[in-house]
Amino acid sequence: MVTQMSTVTTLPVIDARRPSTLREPQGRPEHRRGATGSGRPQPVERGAPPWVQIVPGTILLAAVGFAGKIAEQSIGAYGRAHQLTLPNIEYVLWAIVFGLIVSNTVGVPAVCRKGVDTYEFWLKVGIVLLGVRFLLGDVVKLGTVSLVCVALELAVAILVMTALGRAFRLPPKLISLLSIGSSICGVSAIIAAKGAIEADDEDASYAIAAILALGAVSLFVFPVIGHAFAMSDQAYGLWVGLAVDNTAEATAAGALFSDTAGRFAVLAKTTRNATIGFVVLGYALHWARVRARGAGVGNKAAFLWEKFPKFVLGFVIVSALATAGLFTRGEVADLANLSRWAFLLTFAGVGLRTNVSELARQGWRPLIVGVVGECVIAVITLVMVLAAARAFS
Amino acid sequence: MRLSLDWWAVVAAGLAVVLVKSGIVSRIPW
Repeated sequence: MVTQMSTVTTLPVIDARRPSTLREPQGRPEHRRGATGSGRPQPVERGAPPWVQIVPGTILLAAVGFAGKIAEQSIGAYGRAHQLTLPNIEYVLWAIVFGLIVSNTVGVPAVCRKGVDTYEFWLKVGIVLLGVRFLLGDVVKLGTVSLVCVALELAVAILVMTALGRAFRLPPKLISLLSIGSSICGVSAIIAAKGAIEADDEDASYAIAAILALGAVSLFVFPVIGHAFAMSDQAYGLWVGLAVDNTAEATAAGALFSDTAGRFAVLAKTTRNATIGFVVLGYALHWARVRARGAGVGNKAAFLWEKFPKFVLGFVIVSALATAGLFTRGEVADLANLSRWAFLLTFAGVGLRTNVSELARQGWRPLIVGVVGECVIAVITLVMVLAAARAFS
Repeated sequence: MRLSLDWWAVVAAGLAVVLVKSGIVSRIPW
């Protein structure tokens, strides 16, 4: 399964780290591809303010997410009323599944696509607000443990992906993008690196497709493995944060295990995201040397700041305010619940932006490299986390 | 000046904190 390619097809002309609602209209209308990647011309709401254009899709996100919550509650209530022991399937999975059904059957209506694209915005809002549930000391302690694991994971992921990519004779820049995507934070890292190493759109599409396909699979596989190994919430969350590449999928895979595991997955993944600038800078310098253009990156500090995920700062600030005792217990509960609602929209967006039929169009060799590489990385990080579990005890 | 997605998320979350802290928004259900 892959996320629909609308983001990829517009990569050359947009800042993909900016929500679609804030982008300038790009390209000629007939060249804009829809979220299904079908190439059909999409109706464009000319004249409507950006915030109006995102309303239908945001409502769709909320409806799908809320349907997932209702499904969980209804099944639980039915089981209790009829004294049945039904499996407790979390709203997270329902929201993703409902989104998948919509996306892969009737498709996301064109009028809703800009709003659906805001799922990443809601993810980041949710992460910042989640800071209220972490004391700064815990962030430092767990962040340090995570950072050590992240450093090892970065080395392993880059080595594994590079070796596999060369074995399968993938283009060098595609290997770089797959390495960056699997070592740091999936789509954001690939998009950030694409410009830095001047990779082709096609290579970026392949790399994003492979990373997101595996992210979708991880939603179903990781919780099963976590339960099979009887992992603690903290250890599982750390593992997911290290091994699942895209932040939305990592958050969902963590929440599918437990609420606490979801929090730790976000913390570990956020730590990993914070390294994005260093890895992209390394690859940018490498490709600048390969192209023999001398110094390809002028001001390295400015480059690192530009690539640094700023929402991490928001997360740390909110955590610091909570640690300072600024919030009452009721306010903490309110902010934590707002974070959950933001994540609910994110989980719906994960399903709505995932299209099974796109898989065949992306080619199999990058996917094979992605699958084998991610499996190796998942096993190595699992061993690493089980070894690091002592740090939590 | 254009804000990136990350900064918009920080601004939105900051607004939520202000609204909750000021009591304008309270008792958020889940």
